[in-house]
Amino acid sequence: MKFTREAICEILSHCATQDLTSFVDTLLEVGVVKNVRAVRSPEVGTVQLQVREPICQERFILGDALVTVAEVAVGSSLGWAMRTGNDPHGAVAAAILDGWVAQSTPETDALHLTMLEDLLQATVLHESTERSLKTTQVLSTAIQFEELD
Amino acid sequence: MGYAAARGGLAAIEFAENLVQELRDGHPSSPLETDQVTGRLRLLVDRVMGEAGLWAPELAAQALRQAEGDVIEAVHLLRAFKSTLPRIGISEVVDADDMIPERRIVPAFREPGGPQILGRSTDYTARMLSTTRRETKPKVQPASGTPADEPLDVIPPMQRMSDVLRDMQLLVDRRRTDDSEPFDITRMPAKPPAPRSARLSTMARAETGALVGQWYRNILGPDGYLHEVTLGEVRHGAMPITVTHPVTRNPVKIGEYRVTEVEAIEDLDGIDEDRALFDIGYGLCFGQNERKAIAMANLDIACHRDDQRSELEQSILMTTDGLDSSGFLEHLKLPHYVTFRSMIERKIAVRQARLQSAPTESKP
Repeated sequence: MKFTREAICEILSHCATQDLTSFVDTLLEVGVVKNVRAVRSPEVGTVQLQVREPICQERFILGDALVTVAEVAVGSSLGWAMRTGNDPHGAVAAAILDGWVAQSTPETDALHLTMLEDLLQATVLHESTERSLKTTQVLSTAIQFEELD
Repeated sequence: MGYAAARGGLAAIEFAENLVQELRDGHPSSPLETDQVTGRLRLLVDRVMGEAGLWAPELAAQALRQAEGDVIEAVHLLRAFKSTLPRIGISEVVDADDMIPERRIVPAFREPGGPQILGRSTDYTARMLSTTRRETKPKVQPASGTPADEPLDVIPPMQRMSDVLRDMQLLVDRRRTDDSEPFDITRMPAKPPAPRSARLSTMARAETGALVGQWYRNILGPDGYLHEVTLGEVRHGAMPITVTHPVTRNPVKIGEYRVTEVEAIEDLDGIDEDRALFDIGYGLCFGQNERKAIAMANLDIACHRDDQRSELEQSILMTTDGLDSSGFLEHLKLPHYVTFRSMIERKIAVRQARLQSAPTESKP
């Protein structure tokens, strides 16, 4: 697996819920992922957003963001996920994948780890394409005002 | 101030609420989906999230739909919902420089460090009401005058105006080395004198119109704080939401939120100020809400310069929250029968006392 656990979490947080749940359902059906139990039922709540402003280098609280968090045990590994918005299904699916990745090895789960890697790479590519399009749109509005004599 | 409760009329209250619901949801037009609201009324959704202090576009859209487009009512719904939620955690502290900009304007300098980008804006075009609906697909055309050799997929680094002025040794250095905990206005009301973090949080959550009004009064109104206003930076872009993974203890980015950021340059000219330097006020709020962020930055520096000499800080902290002010205003519509009856009785009592104490006219 070429992604770190944190990178996987980050990419999974951008994955469409449907893609995540379908993939996890497949892993559960074929028995690759087993012994899953909920440690913390999916919970919708908020995360306080703190920003350090550049003038006095002071922290202040801008507000909160709506998130959903879930924790599961996959075998002896703890899986965790947090997603923005109200998304309990996505959070549980991502937590299961986090826990499964933590206890998987290329020797035992090569095929399904490759499938996960494909999903992650597709998500990265999609994100990157979207970001690139937006950047192109934004930079098309770059401007240099001229001073009138 | 005391109020006596009134009761009764429950059926009428329920019918009134049902009337709102039925006429709204039963309108013969197509149902309003939340993605239409988030996609086509983006600035309205941004404003509701900002004034509610909660980044939740879907919920804000639902609140606006339920409130029939009433911003304050939508903010009320969103804050009420937020109050039922647990606070699951605190984000990693994000540096303002972590923003991925989608718009950047530097009114102070023609050639700032990095490009000026208009982004999604109608600032420079005439306001013409379009009476026909246009179905357009996004098209990207480089603006005339854009350097052709500039790569179009990477936003070049942008040096912020405060850093430009620092490099020129023209800026008061107010950078702090301590890292004090920020004031949480959702847990405790902020009263003057308050730490700056409380003022910034209050203004970030303030009602946009109230903040603009406060700024306008401060600039041109009876307070007499006329001062030079130059905007250093106006930026809009995406900030990361980063939290700590509970197992690895390493940071994980779980999403983004959009903000508007402003630096307002202040020409120091007070008796106790260094006239060879500038100072800067800071504004940052959810979404694309430039009026609010500009007002916030100007009031931030105005409050700092005022240094408790006037009631400016009190006014910012205690009168700019839309839910506070509208809540107080709207409660006036509720029955005040007992309160008002007691006022009438007092008037009658005063009149009777006056009649009794008046000297009787002597009869000839």
